[in-house]
Amino acid sequence: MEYLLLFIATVVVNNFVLVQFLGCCPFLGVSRQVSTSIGMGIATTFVMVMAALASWLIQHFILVPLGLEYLQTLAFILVIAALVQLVEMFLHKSIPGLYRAMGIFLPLITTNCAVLGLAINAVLRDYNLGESLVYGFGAGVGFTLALILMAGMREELQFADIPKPLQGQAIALILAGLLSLAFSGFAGMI
Amino acid sequence: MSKIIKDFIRGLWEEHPTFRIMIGMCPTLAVTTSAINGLGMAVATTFVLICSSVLISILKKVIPGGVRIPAYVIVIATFVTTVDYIMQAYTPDLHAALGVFIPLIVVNCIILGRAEAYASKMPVYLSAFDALGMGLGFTWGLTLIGSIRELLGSGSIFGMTIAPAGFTPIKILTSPPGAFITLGVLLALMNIVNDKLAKRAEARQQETAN
Amino acid sequence: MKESARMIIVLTVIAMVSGFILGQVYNLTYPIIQRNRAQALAGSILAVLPGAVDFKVIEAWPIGGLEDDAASLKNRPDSETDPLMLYQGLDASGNPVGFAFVAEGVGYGGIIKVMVGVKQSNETISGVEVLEHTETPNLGSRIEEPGFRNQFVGKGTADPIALGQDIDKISGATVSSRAVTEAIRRDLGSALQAYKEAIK
Repeated sequence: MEYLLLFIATVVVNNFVLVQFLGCCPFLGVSRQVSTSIGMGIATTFVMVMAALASWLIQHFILVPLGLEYLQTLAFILVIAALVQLVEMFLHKSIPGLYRAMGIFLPLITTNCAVLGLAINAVLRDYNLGESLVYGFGAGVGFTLALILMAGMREELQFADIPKPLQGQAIALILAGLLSLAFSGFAGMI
Repeated sequence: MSKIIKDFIRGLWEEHPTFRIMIGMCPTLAVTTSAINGLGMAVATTFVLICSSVLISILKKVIPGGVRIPAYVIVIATFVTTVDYIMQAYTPDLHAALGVFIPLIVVNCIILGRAEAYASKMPVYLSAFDALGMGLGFTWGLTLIGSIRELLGSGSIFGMTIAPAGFTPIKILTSPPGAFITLGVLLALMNIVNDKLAKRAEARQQETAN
Repeated sequence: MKESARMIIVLTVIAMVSGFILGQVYNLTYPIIQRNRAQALAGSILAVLPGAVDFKVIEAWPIGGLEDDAASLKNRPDSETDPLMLYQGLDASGNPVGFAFVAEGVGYGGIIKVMVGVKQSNETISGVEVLEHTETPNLGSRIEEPGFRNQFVGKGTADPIALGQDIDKISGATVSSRAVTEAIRRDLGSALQAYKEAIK
């Protein structure tokens, strides 16, 4: 039950993108079409769960016992980079169609602040292994949700008459602001 | 000499990381709740940017192409962790305010992007000036956003309350939605400025052509 | 073969130099960081215990303690077997004026830690200071305002200490207000009990 609450809290109340500002770059860059957003979201969620697992193991079995907490940032980002590399190789061999469709966005998951951010936060909040995994999964789902909502809105926006200065990223940001405002209504729900 | 100046100025406006290329968005939106937070984050990022670009440029012939990304990441992460601990020791309040976004400097696309696109190919002195320009551009961008949000959202700037007594702060500006909206409006305003400048340049060209 | 060997060597060397440098940075800054923490802690203890000029650290065991055997203690979660840190405030003559303890709650942006001072004479709260928080500036961060914190002064275990009853929340920051209120209400009783046990 607690895990369910943690999941809902991470997806909605403390949404990674709209409330915690983790994962903004792909959020603003990739969210033009719903189809690419879904693909990006799923790939990122997968990496996030693996990253949550890997970072918990590293923190508790290597960094803390050896007193090397100061190597946390270095260790986590290297593990994430390796994970993304592995996912890339796996997709290239098994699902080449998806690999091609994702293109440049796949390696960009490494620089997605949400992945490193969730690893650091999970350690900061002292989550156990189960909680870390739920947190990672929730982060991914929340990220995907934000991405899909944004993409859906931007697809509609193509038919709207937008004043010239606002076109492009400006209106996207204002839209994101309204979306974030809507999500802030969830605060206090849990 | 003019190449150095051109590389330096580029980051200040033409290829401004925040307002034109739109990278490094996470800290831009997250920490600009006040002017000092924006400034502090940008200075820390600039420090890491300059150090990393210089070191990577020095090592560019040594690092084999196949492992360049992990190598850059290690270099950047080292500087980021150094800044993290220095801030924790000497500026604990700012460190607590910036929180998790300090270690997140390591995934700030600006730094890895410049390393990959520029520092790994250009001589050291050019890389240094390019990094300095980008860093300063990022700094004035973040400080501006932070100042606006703090001024209209809390009635103060750099911690000093300057709004008149009757002023009701627009609280939404210091919360997450406000970040998106402030940046969106700023971008729109900059688009207007850019358009006017472009039109004026065009008109000047037409005149000289006639 | 040469190329991949070179890649591995270069990467390993860079990683080792990195690790070494970071180790040095850590060793240099660690004492300063610890000093900052100690100063902040000391400052907050004295702030919540008016009349105290010094303090003594007491490690208290909130649960049974020595009665439990090693085997059952091993199965308890860390939070229950770690000692509760109590800070006994002493006035200029060395007499205890009360004690302070740290209460933790989960707010909107993360963990909120508050230092709570309790008067020895009537076992009521003498002060609340916010130690750590990552709440939204200008909204949740207003839990730092004296107007909010002073509401807890004078409350004891007989009071409800709840939002909407005897504590007013900060408008627009329900989650942050509730986190602090619940943390104090939850921990006040056990901290008081542990203190009384410890000074027996």
